[in-house]
Amino acid sequence: MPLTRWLRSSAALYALPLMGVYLMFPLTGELPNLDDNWPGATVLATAATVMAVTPVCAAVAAWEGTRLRQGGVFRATGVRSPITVLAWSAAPVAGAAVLGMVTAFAVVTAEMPGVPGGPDLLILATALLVMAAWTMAGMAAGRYLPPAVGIPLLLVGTWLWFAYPSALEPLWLRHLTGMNLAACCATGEVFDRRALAAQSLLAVSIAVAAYLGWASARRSATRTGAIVLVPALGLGLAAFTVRDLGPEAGRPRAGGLVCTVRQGIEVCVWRERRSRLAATAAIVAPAAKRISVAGGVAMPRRITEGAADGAGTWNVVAGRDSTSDDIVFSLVTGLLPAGPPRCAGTGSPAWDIAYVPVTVWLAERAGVSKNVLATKAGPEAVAVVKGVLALPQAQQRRWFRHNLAALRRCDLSPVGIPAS
Amino acid sequence: MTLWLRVHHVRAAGLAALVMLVVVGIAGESRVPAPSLLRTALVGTPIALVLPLLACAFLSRSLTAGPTALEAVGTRPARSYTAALAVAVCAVAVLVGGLLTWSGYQPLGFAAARNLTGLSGLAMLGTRWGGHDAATVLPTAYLFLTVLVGLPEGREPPWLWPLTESGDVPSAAVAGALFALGLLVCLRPGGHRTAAP
Amino acid sequence: MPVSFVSCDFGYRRGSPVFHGLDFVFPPGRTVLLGPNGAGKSTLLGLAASLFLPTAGSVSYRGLDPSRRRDRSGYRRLVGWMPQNIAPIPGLTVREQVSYAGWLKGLSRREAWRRAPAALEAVELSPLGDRRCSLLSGGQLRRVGLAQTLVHDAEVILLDEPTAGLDPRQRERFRQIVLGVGEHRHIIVSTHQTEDLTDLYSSVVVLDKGTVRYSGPTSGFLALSQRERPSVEDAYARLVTGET
Repeated sequence: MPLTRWLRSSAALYALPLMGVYLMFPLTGELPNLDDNWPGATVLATAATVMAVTPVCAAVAAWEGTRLRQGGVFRATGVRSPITVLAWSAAPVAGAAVLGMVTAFAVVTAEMPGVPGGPDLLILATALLVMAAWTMAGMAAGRYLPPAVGIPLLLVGTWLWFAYPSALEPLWLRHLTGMNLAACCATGEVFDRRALAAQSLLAVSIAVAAYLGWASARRSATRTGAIVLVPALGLGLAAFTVRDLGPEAGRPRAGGLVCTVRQGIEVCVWRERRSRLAATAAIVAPAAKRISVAGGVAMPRRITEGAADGAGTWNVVAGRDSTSDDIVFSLVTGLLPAGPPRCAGTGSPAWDIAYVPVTVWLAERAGVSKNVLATKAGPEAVAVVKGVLALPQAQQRRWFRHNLAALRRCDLSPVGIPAS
Repeated sequence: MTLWLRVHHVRAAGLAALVMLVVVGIAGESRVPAPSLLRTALVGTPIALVLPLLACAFLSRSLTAGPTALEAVGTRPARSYTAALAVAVCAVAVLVGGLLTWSGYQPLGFAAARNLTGLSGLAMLGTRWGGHDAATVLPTAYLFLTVLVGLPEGREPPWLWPLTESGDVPSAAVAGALFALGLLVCLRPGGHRTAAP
Repeated sequence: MPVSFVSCDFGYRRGSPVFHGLDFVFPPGRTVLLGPNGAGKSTLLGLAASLFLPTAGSVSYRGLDPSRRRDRSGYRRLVGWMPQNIAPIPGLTVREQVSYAGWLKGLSRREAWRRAPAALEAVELSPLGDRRCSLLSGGQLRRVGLAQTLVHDAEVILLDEPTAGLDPRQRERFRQIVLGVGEHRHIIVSTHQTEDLTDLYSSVVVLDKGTVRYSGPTSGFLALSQRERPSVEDAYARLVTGET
């Protein structure tokens, strides 16, 4: 059959505009949250494609499967193997999926000028595998289900599967689908490979079951058992693989820093931000000195976007759109505890009261402008801190150290802060 | 009649509607994120508004099952039976969904039943113009179009009836009108002038 | 008189008209309907079965016109039809499928169930009565179609390609069925198989491009052949190529 006629006879061609429109919305909606790193960009492009395109692919594949059944292809004694027939019939659907993926990457790449590196191939391969698996599942379903049931079932079923688990517990469920939107990655993170392994495992098991269903309609206990057991086994193994993951699939990045020394302090940023290294160092080195003087804490040897202990090494974030105030503010929040202490029965009242004023005071002393602080923390917190700033230096320092300790402990109440 | 019920997979259609009502009752207000044309972020669509499509698919299958040509030349009023089946399933859904909403147990219960009714009307219209295989293409495409557009803040245009809440009267009216239109088409002789039994 | 057509017009929605002003009466007894592919044979049987209604004119049998709602049910009780394609109904056994056809034709559920074995016996399918229809071969399915037509007491039996896919033994069986039912009913068979046509049918109708080229006794049809030994094929060829 001529190529154009073969393409024209496929429902994928007619579903392409719908896929395109549907793809653009999650993609453009999430672009403002995109960080300057390729794993994050890859996750966004692949997740948007998986979420928007795969359900349509599965439904279209179900239609194609029905067409082949009604055309008597399975009864014919063709010399082509079932996998060849499947591949040729699913090729336009797969083509539409790949086109969707290419479009998504084109949109995302436009947002990544000057960012070194390229798409994360493992994430991309996993997404393609997930899409292929559901397309095969659609083809197999089309062999058995009437199209009136198969098309909506595949469309709604896959859509629910990709979109719904992110709102459900257990948390590991969301790492099985292959729809990784918001699961990863800030520039300081890498995608946890266990999630990719789990998604691949489940996708392969779905593809195997789909192929078994597609290749022969002969009823046998072994075949039926395999069609049920293979995905069940895949699901079990995949769930086991990601059982410890939290709501997100990102984990701290180990390498990839570039460093410089400024005023005796080593300042390091992610290599994607190499162009901003000097400017960042020029901002954070004097800010660190001001924090050290104001809070009476030791000067750091290193300020880094990587792992930091809060003592000799401080943490900073110099994101793509960060202003100098944002960078100093991140230095301040990096010094403070990341979360409230676990206090039995009482919650963490000190944290609720003291965290914002302590942050605002330290940020103000580090040089963040009052306007920015008012925007970030609200005028009430700024007003509280204004009273503290009127105190003598030593008293301010005592206020800070006491309240910092209160943030870390359950048995200490904050001082000099009216409870709101 | 027993054979007619079997030939038309009435049990599956009833079961699908029942499962829909149970799931709607339990978790109907859970939201599934979907892209929206009118909002920048993903908008959560309650599954109670989407699940009726699956029940509608099984009902459509029931309505279109069976040896069409033989039924067309039979003396039994086969078209009336299928119409009665559609009415019965939707009426029970409206009754149960209405009770769920009225009792305050599930605010979207009636909306789900309304969607089943309206989408089934669209499916009957789709069957007339696209054939049995394409029965659910029209309701599927319509539902996803409305989900894609999303409900604008403060306004509920009647054509977005699948997304509105239970109390929206124009939406119920549109869904009811679509169902009535579908029934009319289902009862009328179709295609090239065929005769109803 | 069996089914008659008066000034009938009919056409499919997206095609050219099949019949225009058709005035025709099927001969009584056993009639074979011949014609090339696309001549309108199945459409003619569909009109006779009241699957389609003419866009103009009327079809009637015993004064009953299926276009009139009050006549429709009575007409359909008297006319049985076997379509060209017999589809197995998923989930039903052979006996159930035949019973269902009888029920659709107005028999009570019990009566249809009671009569199904006799209809299956007539087509030699009794041993398969409890087998699912979806497991039958193409030839067996055609016999199920035939049983569906025989299960109720139709006076006119319309069979569209009933012998396609039947083995010689089954074709012989079909011959016996036609000879058996033809004694007290009218039977109209659309076919391309012309062997033993002269022994089996009392009348021949030849249809070509929506026009009845010949309708009359088999002997008259054979007389159209100009060969020394008259042959059905020659007579047919002369009719459809317009050489008479």
